[in-house]
Amino acid sequence: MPGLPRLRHITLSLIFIACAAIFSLPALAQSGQWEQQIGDVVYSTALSADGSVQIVGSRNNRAAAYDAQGNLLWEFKPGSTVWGVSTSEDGQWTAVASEDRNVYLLNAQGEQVWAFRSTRIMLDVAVSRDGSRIFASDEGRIVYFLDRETGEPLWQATLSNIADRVTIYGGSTIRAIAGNRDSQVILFGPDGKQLWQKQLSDSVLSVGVNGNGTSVVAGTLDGKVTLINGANSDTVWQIELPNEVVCNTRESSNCVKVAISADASRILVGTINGDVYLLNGTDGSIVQTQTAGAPVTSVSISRDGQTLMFATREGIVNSTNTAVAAAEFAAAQERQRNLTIGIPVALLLVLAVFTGWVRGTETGRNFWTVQIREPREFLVRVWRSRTSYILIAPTIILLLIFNYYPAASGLYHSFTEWDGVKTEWAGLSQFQALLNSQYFWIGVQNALILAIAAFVKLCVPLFVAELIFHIRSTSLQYAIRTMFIIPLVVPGVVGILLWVNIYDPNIGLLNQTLTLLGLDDLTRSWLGDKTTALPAIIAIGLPWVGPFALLIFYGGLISIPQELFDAAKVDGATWWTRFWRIDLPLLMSQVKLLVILAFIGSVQEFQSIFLTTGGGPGSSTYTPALELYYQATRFNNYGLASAMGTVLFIVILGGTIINLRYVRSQTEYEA
Amino acid sequence: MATTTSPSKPLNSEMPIVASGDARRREAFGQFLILLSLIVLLALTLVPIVLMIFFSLKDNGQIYGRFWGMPNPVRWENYSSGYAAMSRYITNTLTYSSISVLGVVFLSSLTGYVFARHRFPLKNQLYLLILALLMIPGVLTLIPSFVWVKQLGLLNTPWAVILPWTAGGQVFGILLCRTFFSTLPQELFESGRLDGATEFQLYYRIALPLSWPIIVTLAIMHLVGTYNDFIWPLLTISSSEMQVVSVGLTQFTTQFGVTDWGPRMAAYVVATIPLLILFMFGMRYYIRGITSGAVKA
Repeated sequence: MPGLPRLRHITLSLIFIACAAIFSLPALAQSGQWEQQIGDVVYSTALSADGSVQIVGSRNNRAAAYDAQGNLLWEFKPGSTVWGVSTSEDGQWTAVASEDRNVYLLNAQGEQVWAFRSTRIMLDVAVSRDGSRIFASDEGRIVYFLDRETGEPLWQATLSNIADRVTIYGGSTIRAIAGNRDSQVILFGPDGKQLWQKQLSDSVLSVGVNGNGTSVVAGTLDGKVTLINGANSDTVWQIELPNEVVCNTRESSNCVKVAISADASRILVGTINGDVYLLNGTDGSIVQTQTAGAPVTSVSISRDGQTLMFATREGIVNSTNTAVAAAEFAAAQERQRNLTIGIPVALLLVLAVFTGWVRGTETGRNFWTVQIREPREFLVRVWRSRTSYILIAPTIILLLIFNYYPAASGLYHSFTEWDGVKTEWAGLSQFQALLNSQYFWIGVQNALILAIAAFVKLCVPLFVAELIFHIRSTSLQYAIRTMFIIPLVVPGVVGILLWVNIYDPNIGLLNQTLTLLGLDDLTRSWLGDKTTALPAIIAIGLPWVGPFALLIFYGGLISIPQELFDAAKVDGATWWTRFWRIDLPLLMSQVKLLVILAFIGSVQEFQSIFLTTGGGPGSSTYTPALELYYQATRFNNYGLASAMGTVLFIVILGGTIINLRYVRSQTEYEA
Repeated sequence: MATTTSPSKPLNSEMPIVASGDARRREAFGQFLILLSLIVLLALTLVPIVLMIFFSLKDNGQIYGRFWGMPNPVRWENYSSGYAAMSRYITNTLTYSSISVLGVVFLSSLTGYVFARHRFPLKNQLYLLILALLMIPGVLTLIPSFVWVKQLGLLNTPWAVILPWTAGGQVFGILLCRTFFSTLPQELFESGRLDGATEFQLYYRIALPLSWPIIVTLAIMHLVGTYNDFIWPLLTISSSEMQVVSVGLTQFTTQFGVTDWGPRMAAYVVATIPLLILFMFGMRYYIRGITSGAVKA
């Protein structure tokens, strides 16, 4: 029956295409939101009419433009802090007010067209819709109405007090508005004539105006937001925000910030409490509340009211296109619906076709007997051994929860920004940060020194084990071995603290002994001196007869067949040649084990440093594990700490593999 | 065919090969040198312990004024303040450690038994997966474990140390127990099965009673390991009511003032006593644990 397989192929392909269509939907939608860390306080933001050009001015002498998805368009670096930015309707003309006393006009590429220099710091700037007029204020209480063509003021006016924020509106007749520290909002005509002046309750920190000038919104130091009728300067409404806003003049740059859309329907307000409110323009009622997480230093809303933007003192800029975001939400719902219906339907279809194929065709039956039986038998065997699985289940569950999961979590989070609550994918940037961290490199250097010292220290227990092994009397061997193991009873922390006491500058045994011997010049604060701190830590445990290593070496020695020693004796071998030719080669597996353990211990060295110097003096005794601990506990920098953990894990793994592979192991001998 | 002339029996090692008087004298001198160097090394090794006991019987005046002098008068009262400071920490630690030891002994012996005696699909893969944990260093899991324990809401409760100690201690325990159980004769279990014992009974009635030495070894090693653990309790337990010995020892400055050395050293001694008692009875088992673990690794 050649017809059936073809039918099958067609059906399968159709199902496949249907599935692909369902799953590919999310790829079409474009993100309507972005958030970025600018790296310093953002004092000002601005948007073009449709939100396609988004300007950010910040304290790190930077003004930059982004597109709706948050991609950088251009960047401009004036000589000092950027206090104000503004852009035209089409985003082609951007003005920047800087602490370097200039107002810069930039074109669509972010190139400087001209700069207007005042005698004082420039505080804010506004660009008219068509970009033809620029209105700016400086710290010398003067406002300037500049012409784009010439870059010179058409008029200028001196106010009673400094105007922190200015704005501008109008197409053919362009008017300017300034809000000053005498609690006034002032409207100027195109010729510089003062049209009205509105007295508010406190310093004006922020002003915004809608497209045709009918609505002027102002935020004041007392935490109030006021809407003024632009025609007659009457108050339309005034509200106090639900979370009381308390600021002083010093915090004025992030107290209450306002922005309004062209049709005056939406007003965006940001406060020092970190709240962002979207207000209804007609009555000032709150439509939506959001938390920025830090004092809000600037808010902007595009002319069409669709793009909302706010920035914080911590340098975070957040931009949302409400239309796109709403569409995205709808699309996500749609997708969810499609999946909940689509997946079961597709599965049922596949199952039906598969059953039909297995039952109805020769190849299908063949496939069933050949391919499915084996897994089926495997499952049967698993079922028969269920007792075994049940008995090991508690172990496996405990290991999964407390061992496998943290290990996986550590590896995963080394690629993220992680504060223990929020996780953000960061790619390789944590490893980058690690490479640039001087503490980490000091730590690596110290860990290397500690590792080499640990290897050298292993010679002592080997030597002692040899000595004990050469004692004639077995009971004496046993007694001395036991006495060397006594330090095991001292808890590790006590052992280290005792050495801290030995190094004490006043009553430390070391300095006291030196004084007794008349070597007063040599006394010092051993752990407090940069040059001696690390050697002092290495010297802890002198003469380094580690009970653990001693037991292992001694155990290795007594397991060497006696015949070999006898043969050596017969051949007249000296103690020295016997050690090199017989003992050491036959102890290689013990040496290898102890070297691995010493290496792993040094790379992870934490306790002895933490309890003695804590990494000091300065950073002279840092180790990577100590830096890891500090990054996590002092800075909540869990992502970076995880990255360090991952790097140390790889180092340990690599070191162990090299040791296992290249250090010569068991020498074969014939007994 | 096979020559049975010499069974290659080793020479009697006690029998000296050459026994001239000169050689004997050299030998004796060699023994003397060996003992001398061992005693010097031993004395140096024990200096901190002697210092600890010495200081614990002095007061600050004696320590600062007559550093090298004997404790006079002997300040036994240092021990009462040292005990007062440490008793709570020691009780806590021994409680947590004991619970964890019970868990580790039970789980490791059961799982070790299953891996040694049962045949089931994926057995070797699962065993390797467990052994692979020996390759995961503490630094990798330290911070993720801490955050995880925090998310589980265990932070600053005894479970924050008991559960991870138990989970981690199993790995070595399983290794130890599996090796031991696979040396037990198969016939014991066969006859048990014929008598109708369940799998759990085979473990509980046959394997466990035969494996006391290894169980004691595991218990002592785990107890010593947890008693000495420092960084994990430091991270997860902040209340001094619940703190363990190793962290408690570092928090003296707040209890005795910065320089009250006598009571402080007495407290160190007090903190040492539980391990001293443990080693007096279990040194043999501990040494076996170290050496048998070494052979496997």
